[in-house]
Amino acid sequence: MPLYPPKDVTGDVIRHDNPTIADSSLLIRHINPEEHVVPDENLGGRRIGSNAFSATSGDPDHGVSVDLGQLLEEQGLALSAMVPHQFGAVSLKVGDVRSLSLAVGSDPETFNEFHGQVWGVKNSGLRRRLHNLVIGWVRELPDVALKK
Amino acid sequence: MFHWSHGKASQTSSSLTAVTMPEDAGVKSVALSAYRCDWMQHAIDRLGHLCRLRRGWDGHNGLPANKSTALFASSVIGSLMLPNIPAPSIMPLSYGGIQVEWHRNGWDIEIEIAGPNQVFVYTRELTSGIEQEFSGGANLSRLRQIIDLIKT
Repeated sequence: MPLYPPKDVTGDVIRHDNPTIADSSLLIRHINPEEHVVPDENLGGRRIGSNAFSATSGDPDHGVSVDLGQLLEEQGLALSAMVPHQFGAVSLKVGDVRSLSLAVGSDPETFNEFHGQVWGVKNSGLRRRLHNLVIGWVRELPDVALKK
Repeated sequence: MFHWSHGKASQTSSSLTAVTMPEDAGVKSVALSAYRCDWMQHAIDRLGHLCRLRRGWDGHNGLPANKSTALFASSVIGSLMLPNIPAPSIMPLSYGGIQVEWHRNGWDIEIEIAGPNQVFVYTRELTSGIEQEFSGGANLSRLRQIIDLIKT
């Protein structure tokens, strides 16, 4: 079901929280195996770095790009359907993200109608808290831990 | 041992061995310069790579590192470089910023460089769980003290 997000006069989607996106649904964040994986000697291996949850470029509302699992499932698609080849992906629960006072909404793109945003990730502390909310792999990267 | 996170992790034992070479201050100085060159060359290579990332490198709309941010990051990295401090991981942030980080000796240290003179530091000591966050500009000496704790 399209979510028809609110837009400004220039046609850009504005920050909003869409209550029709269920708390129990999942958000999918893509993980670049070259740029989002950091060696951690404390852990004794490699893991996803907090930079994987950085706000997307040029967004004044500090939005982190995600795929909306609810929309993917409504279309009968796998949660990994929009994840680029050779990338990994992880999931977070919408309700957990909202518990950080972050907004979750739709932000469809030409090549990804399932694209959404987590708005309000304006500092590294929130980035790390978002990272801590990861619940599992959607597409696993071998020998990479999810978090500390 | 010389740590580097992105493949070009050439073992630089010769420079490090020389750094720890005792007595002769002249030799030490030359060796430290060699170590510094090696450390910085890796950092500059990595920063150059981050500036050349394609848009969307993060699987969404991520930007390559901003060039002025990368230039400033090289000065920050250079100012933190000391003998026996392993090279950090240098990671891109989707908005064009750069994160410099170490995870070793029971410490997590992450330095976000959002732009020139925009430095934010996060540290966590694993055993105590104590976290600190501060902006880096005026606290470089504080940061150096913490980085001193992760020496090889």
